Amino acid sequence: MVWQGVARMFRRNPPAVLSVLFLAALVGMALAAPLLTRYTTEEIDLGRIVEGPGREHWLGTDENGRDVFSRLTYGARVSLSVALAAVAMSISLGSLLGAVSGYFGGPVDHLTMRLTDALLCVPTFFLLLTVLTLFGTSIVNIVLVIGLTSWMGVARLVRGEFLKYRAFEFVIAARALGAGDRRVIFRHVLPQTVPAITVASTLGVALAILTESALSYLGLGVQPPTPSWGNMLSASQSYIWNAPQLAVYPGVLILLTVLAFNALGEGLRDLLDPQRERGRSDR
Amino acid sequence: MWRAILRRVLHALLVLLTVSLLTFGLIMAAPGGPSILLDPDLSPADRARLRQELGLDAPAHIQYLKWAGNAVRGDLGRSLVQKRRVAEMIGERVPATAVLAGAGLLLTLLAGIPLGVAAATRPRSLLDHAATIASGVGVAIPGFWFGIMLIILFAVWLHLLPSAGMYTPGGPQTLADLLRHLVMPTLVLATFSLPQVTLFARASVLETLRQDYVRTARAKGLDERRVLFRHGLRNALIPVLTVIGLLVPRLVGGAVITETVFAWPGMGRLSADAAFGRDYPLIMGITMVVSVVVIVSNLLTDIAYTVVDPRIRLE
Amino acid sequence: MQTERDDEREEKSQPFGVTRRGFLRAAAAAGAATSCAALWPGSAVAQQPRQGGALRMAIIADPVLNPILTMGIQSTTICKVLYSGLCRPDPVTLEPRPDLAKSWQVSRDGLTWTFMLRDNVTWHDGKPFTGEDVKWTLEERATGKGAWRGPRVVKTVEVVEPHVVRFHLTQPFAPLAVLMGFTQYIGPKHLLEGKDQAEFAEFNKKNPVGTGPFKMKEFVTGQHVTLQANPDYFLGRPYLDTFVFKVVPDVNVQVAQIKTGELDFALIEPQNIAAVKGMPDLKLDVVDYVNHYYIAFQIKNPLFADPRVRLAMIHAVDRQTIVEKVLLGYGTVATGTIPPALGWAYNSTLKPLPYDPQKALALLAEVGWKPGPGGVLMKDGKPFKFTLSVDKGNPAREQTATIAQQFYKRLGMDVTLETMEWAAFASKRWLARDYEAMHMWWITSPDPDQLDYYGTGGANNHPNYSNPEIDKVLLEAQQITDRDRRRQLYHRYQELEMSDPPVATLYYPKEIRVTNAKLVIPPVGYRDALTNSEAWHYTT
Repeated sequence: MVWQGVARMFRRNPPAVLSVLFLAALVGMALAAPLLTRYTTEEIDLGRIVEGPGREHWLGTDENGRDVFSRLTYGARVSLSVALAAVAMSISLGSLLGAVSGYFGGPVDHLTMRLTDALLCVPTFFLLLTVLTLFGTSIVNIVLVIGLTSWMGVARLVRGEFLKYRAFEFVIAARALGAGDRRVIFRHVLPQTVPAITVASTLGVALAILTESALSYLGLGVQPPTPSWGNMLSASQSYIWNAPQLAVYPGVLILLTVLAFNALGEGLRDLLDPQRERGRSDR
Repeated sequence: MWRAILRRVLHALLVLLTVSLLTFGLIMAAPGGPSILLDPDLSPADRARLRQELGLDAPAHIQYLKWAGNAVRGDLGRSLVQKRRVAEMIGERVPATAVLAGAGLLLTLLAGIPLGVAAATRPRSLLDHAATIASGVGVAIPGFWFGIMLIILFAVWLHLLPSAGMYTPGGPQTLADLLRHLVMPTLVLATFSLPQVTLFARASVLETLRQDYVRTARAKGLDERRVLFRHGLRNALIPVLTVIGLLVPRLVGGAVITETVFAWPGMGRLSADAAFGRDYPLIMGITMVVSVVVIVSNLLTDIAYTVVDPRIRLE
Repeated sequence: MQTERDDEREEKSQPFGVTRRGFLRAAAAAGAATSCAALWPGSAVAQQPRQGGALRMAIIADPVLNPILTMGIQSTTICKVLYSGLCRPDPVTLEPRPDLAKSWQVSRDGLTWTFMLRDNVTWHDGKPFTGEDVKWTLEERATGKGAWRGPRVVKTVEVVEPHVVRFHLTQPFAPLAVLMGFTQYIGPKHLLEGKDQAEFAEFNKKNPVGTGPFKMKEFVTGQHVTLQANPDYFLGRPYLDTFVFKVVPDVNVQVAQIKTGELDFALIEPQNIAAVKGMPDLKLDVVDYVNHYYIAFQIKNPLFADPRVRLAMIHAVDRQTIVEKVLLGYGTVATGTIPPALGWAYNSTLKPLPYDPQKALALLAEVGWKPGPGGVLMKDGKPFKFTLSVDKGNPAREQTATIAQQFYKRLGMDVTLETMEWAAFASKRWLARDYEAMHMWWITSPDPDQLDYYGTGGANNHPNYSNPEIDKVLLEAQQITDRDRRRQLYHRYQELEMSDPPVATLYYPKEIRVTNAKLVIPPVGYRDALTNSEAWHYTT
């Protein structure tokens, strides 16, 4: 029965299902990193720098003689967790602010909206640069700053849903029955926003991974020797002439992972919001 | 209509105030100081004197009021690193940014919209699939990587295009020279926005095509293309306006990576220099200028909405 | 390229003029083998110089071209070409040679230096250069707004005659002539007097006026600064027609540009050499320059107070491996803080301390550090634990720090690596002197005086090093002008460093440049080579 369901989903949206499989494999690999890798990410071996793939080092070594496969696997942990943490933060903050704003309206709404507008005006990347330069580039800071600059979309979304549902019957009914504000919010309205938020999250993770790599290019991402795909890609630029493979591995991984999250997001959008099917012709 | 505009202007001023307070607060809260104080040849006494001369010893709110008071009069202060007027430094970068952002926007719209529309009118065709996949890849590629790849391909291996900069130094600043330098940075800049517009236009057109009134027109026997253009396209493009509105901040102030890789002398590069140099007045100035541009472009987009769809009122 | 014959010269009045022909002779004499080491057969060695041509070099950001205000590497780079100092470093030996000053004399007590200035020098706007310009420049630097970068020992400057200036010093100071040729550009009093140097954008950005071999042609902000030959230059018209400084912030793009031919000169890291190998239009140029890389240990920290600990840190690291693997051989393991580029001052009898982890452990044991459970070094129940800080952005430095960390770990130390963006690193670690261990370097002037860096209480003595015997040696060496005595003293300084190292010196890097195969430039670090820019030329 389950397999039939999966097969049906696959026919409907092959990219989404492939993405799920890919991401599951990726996460599995990342979690199982200590089991899969024979070298640590920091073991330098100056005698064997920039080697190609071989029996001992499956994907070769980097400019310090460190095992590329290990660094990629542990790097997956870092890049994925930074992205997921940042998105978790932006979702929580955005939902909270959006809910409060949309439900209570009035001056609270106005203030929050001005704040949202203000943050949307400022070029995000510049803000990231400035904050990380001024406050330092610890992983915590990176997560915080990406999270604090990407909540606005979710907030607007959630607020919109709240405005929509405020007038709906079931809220009025619930209120009439004496349900407190908080109950109404959590029990009745927020669940309606879950589909949109889920989609936003997956797209947000994709964006966060790209942002971390862009920050690494400017020296403000996750700091070496801790490996992240972003800083591995950035470091490989200097060796592009004599060891281009060092740029290919993290680049391809970033590309595939971001693609997967995007496809997943699109797929979820189709699934969870059946009124807005896309790509279906009139049949 | 005019009352609405007035209200928008008021909101805009409030937003600008919030932006300035936020940015200033961040700068004040940060440890360390501007990079010019990091010169190893400065003695501790000189460093203290410099701090004082630059007004960095005054309490935060005094510094803010001083800055704000000057800013409303158009004086954005002086760069700590270059010592020049911030307004002048930003002004110099405007043409380069405008050219790059304009080219990026043009490429995005001229290629993205037709592609999206075409893909939508031929769902599940080869074109549709190709467009979707290419778009997926486009938004997933790290910009700096793509940029360096392009440079290696077109400048180093093929010798077709210049690798960086806006014009050939010392040469005549012809349009042809500019265009040759513009190709790769525009491609990189548009890598993110073009797919988004394509996908969005495609989705939007598809959605519109499913609307009842379109079905009715079709049922009435009207030609497919006519149906699309007369009834659907206009409505389909409204959400696209939204996307354009969202692109403007990115294109204007966010082309940091592209400008760094290609040595393009625009505001993105200037903002990176400002951030790394901890050049407070320049950071504040750039933030304010870009915010103003974004606010104005939002207002224009909203006005465009009302023009495109008379049902929408300016709020 | 430091030849012994130069040691015999006295540092008193030198009517020796540096002409283009003089430089070419010197370069040939110094030997093409040590200077322009071409790696590929068939590349150009001394041939006929050609008049004309453009030189394109990269800088990473816009400069400020005011001679009083210059700060930042791009500003100092371009100012070396636009302006002149009283002296300039010899294009082979780095000793001070005449520039604006034809000769100079030091009084017996060392407190008065008299410079005889050339009377045939004009500013780029045609006005004559006089001693008033010198006096004004030094005083403006001392009292004007902006960073003070002058020699602090100069008390007053007196204009004895229009072309004779006299410096009155607070103490005898041997390096004065060298410093006057390092970053002490002279600015035009008639244009800059009375102005707020910071506000004078018209001068700084559009029309800087100097006395150098090249004058301003065009400054397009964010893009390039183009200079053109000054036909009235007092040493004769330069060979090159234009000098272009292009703004190219990304180092990898600079490498791409030297490959495409969009740049004629680029500094590269060892790992980029593979990118330019085998290209017949380019040549590789490897030179020594005045730079020592080290790991500094904060001596105020009880962990590193004992010199034996610091000696152990030196023995613990296989520095030869770092030179071979990180620098790909383009460097030399360091003996002390004075590099061989300083010629006469370098003590070539000393050999670097060997890689000897056993010796390191023995030294640490003397101080009380013994291996405990798991091999971790312990003393009084506490492990040997510290953080090694390095700035982010330079792959070689990060690799070096990583490698050093590995070696320390093998001894049983608990070492955490911390990388920080440059501005944060500079302010939080280096200038605040708040670090445990730090990987840094010093590029110093062509004079061996290091009192400021390693003398007790020195302004740049961030490890807080203090050795009274070294203080005595360095102080005397700073004040005595007699070359032979100075050489003795600096040799003694390096001997003393071997038993009480101020920092754990790692290596002296080579400067690697890739240039157009036909370009001939002085075989010294580019900072000093630019001071002789009128001699740069292409061969036919």
